[in-house]
Amino acid sequence: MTQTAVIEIAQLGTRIGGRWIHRDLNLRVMRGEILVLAGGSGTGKTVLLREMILLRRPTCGEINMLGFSLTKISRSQQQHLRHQWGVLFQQNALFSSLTILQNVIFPLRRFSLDKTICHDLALLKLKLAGLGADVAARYPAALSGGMQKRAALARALMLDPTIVFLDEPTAGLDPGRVAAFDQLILDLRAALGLTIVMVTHDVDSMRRTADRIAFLGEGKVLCVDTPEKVSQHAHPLVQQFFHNV
Amino acid sequence: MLDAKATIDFNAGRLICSGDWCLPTLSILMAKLEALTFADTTTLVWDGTAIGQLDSAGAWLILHWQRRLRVRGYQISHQHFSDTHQKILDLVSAAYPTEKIKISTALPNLLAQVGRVAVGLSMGLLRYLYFVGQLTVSLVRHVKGSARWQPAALATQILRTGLQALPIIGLLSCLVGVVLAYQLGVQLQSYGANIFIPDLLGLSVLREFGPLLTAIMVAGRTGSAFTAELGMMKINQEIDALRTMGYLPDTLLILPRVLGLVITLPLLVLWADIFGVLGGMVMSHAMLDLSWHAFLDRLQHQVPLRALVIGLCKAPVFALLIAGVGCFQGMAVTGTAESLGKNTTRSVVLAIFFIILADAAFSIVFSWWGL
Repeated sequence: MTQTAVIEIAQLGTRIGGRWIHRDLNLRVMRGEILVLAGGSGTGKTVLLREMILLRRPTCGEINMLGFSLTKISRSQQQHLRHQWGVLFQQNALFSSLTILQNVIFPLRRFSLDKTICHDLALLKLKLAGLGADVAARYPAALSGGMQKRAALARALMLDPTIVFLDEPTAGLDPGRVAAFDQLILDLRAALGLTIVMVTHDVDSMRRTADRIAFLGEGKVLCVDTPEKVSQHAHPLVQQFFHNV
Repeated sequence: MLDAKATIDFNAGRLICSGDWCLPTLSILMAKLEALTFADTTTLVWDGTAIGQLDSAGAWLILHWQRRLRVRGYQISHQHFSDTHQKILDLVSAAYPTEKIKISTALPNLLAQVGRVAVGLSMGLLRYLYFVGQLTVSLVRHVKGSARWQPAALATQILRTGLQALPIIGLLSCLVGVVLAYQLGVQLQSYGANIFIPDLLGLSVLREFGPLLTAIMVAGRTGSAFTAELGMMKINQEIDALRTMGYLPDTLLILPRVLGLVITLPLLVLWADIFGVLGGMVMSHAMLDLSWHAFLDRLQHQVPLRALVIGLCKAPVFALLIAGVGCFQGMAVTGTAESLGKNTTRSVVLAIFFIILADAAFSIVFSWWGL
């Protein structure tokens, strides 16, 4: 693993409704790693993720992604950046009026490729995400939660992104499926060399997948380290999270 | 990445790839591959030394062509692919899609389609009747005292459907009054019959325009809101949550809306009547020099109270139609954003349709009774 940072967050501050969610938050995400954002409810994990993917502007501070500063970025650079990442949203965000196949093909629109090629590429991504061709013609509403997650992951991977953002990818899945999904993420990382930033609450899941865990609390990153070391961290919030003290 | 270049050359049995083999270059590469001819050879070596970036789309293209060439009888081998590229090739080859998606393009049978629509419509009607029946039972239980009234919910609905609609209804009715008075005035003026304007204006506003226009505005404003609110709650599983807690959505959500509108719509119609007549009065004064006093005097003596009462009698019926259709369409939303939009549209269109139908029915019935 090369030790270059793909995302660098410095002195980030976020103020929502008169309350500081983040204050002086610093974080670096390295190329090729799986970084888990952990922390109790309301510590601003999802907010931080949304700030990284340009859905929300931080109140102050700096986010540097793949060499672009997100606060001073031009519109065309934003577009360029957006094509380099894939996002899996908490509620899947599959387009409910499109079939799974159309959903997965959606990011390919701007390449004006032949329909049959699009179909094949979409099937490839669905298969990578663990879904067969039989679901392709169905609508999201006709799929189970786990299958929707996989379809959304296939869509997020469609453009072979450099960075993949996963917001609670395993929420609402049963433990067996969580393990399978974690394995899927590890396999894809190994094969495609992805950098993955993941928000999750599931301690088992983060132990399995994370290279490093960034634990958020009190508006900043309390500690960033390997899962073993983070769970040994002395801060009471961390102890409470990992050991229910 | 933005100005990616990629080529493929054929030279002495070797296919030499160079540049970035990724999505942006995919269509160029396809065209180049199609143009290649492989003369006097049966073995091909696929050489990946000069490939810069390779993504899964590029890997798919390589594998796709290898399959095609193998079918044509060529022997194919790989050479000089870097480890990372080989990994991607392995991954794509493991997940290579072989099955084709079946998308039926056959035109649907016309007869089957007609049948489906007919059954769908009658099922919809049946479900609507069921909904109305359920609501009636729920109302009876409230009246008998075996279910608890929800005064707070009712008050909220009265506030939102009634009080908050006052400005817009008042303004639009006033404008309609102005327009009516102007058009009538132009005609009556040429006969010197200015003094009849309060009769005509009062009668038409109180009996027809007031109730009808108010109902149509409320259908657009409130009926659509009912559908959207309930539909969103349905999508969000809030309705399911209510049911599991032992509450009926009829009691908490639908009945307050229906009763609230039945209470507010007659009041809104009265409000619209006042502003409609007011608008007409101002216009008559400005255009026909009819004094305020003369207008009001004539209005009082020439327009029967019956006109106002008939207008107000229509209002509760219109309210039942608007709220019933709005809530029914809201509860019929199924899980998707598309269905929410479709049902909201349908709610407004159907409500207005039924309002006009009911108004026509009222006219016929009242003329039978000689009113």
